[in-house]
Amino acid sequence: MRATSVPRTEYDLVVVGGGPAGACAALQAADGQARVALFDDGDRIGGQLIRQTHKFFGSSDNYSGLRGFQIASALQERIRFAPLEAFCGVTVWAIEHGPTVWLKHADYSAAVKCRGLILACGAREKALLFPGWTLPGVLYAGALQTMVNLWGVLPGKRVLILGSGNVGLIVAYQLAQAGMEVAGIVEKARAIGGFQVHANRVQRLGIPIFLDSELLEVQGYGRAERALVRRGRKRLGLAVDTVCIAAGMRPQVELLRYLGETLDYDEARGGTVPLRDFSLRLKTNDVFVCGDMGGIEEASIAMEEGRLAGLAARRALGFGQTDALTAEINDAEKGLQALRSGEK
Amino acid sequence: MRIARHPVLDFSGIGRRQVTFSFNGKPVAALEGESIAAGLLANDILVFRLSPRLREPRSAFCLRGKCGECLMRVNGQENVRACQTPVVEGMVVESDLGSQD
Repeated sequence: MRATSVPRTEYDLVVVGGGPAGACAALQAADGQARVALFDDGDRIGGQLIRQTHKFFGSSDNYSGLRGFQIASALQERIRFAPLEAFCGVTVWAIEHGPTVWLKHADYSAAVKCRGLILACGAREKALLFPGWTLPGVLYAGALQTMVNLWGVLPGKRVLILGSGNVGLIVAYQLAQAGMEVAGIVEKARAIGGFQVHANRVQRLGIPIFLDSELLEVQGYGRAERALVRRGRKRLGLAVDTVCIAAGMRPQVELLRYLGETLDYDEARGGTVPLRDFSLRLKTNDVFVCGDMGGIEEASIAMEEGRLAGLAARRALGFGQTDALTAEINDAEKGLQALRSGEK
Repeated sequence: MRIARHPVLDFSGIGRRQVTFSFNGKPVAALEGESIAAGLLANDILVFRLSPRLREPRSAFCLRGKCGECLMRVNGQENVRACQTPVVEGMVVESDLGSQD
């Protein structure tokens, strides 16, 4: 990594987003020949991994067995010594065909030209509105993870969690770990949304999961004090000072609109998703999308997609031997399939 | 409040200097390097401001500089994001009650 703080005006490949997908894509693409730049709008590389305390599974190539923040450190370390330039605190706010990416940093604005582009913008949380949603103490899962796992600060003593997807289950465990009492997890469906492994861990702590239930209202004077929940046909009043919303994620696809890309709708993968070919390439030449931006999945899959996009970008830009790269790309695709079917 | 013990993460604060800043005229003790928002929340100050029209209490929301719920006046400068701004000894922080934008 180059030590300068201002990006050049031109690169072979630009990667937008330094989460697990973008970081792995940049590392895979940085072969020493291609001039690669990685831009992230956070203060460090790692994306959501930096606020995760649980151990990840997947294959050993994907750092299974390590905790999220440890994987983030490992990626930061590799990027520090890789032949690429990484910039944090940079927001990419527009893309033009060419491609040219428009950057904004606290100290500079710039237009950077590139030949290839990998987008790994990640996801954001789905919003949920209900009476009382603006009360202090009502927070989204990501914000709570920042507060508890990065800042070491608790927002209250007793929390109710909304949503039993993987995020809801993991956050329940993390908040209990940090010393909060978890009053329960509210789930609208009749079945738990996330993986059974995560649900088991939560249930072992004695945290109840209320199925066929929904949050009706949060009440309180000056802050959340009580949550009103429908459970089956009954109503439940729970004394909680914190409500954590984990209603799912949706891909951040906004930048694709600059390219006039066709978007697809896939409820299972978070809603609006880009249309990609098997090598994660978009309709626009030499632009690739990997990670949660392409559809909500696990971090290990994001990393594998990143590698695939990095390889495919190298092949598209003519870096490395085409035949060897094609073989590697085929392997990466197989690895991805195996990961998705749970074989690895 | 601050996390006292954590099975995985180290929040002991050993080696971190304490700094004092003021929030709406009252002194608040925080740790050097942390954000204004972290310092306030660690002291159980949850209400950051009142909404401009309905005067409803509001707290920090996204904690990553995107939402604008934690905007405050810092050393006289308006619209500073409390979640992204590190505390400094003697800093004067006020709820930005007047601002509409």
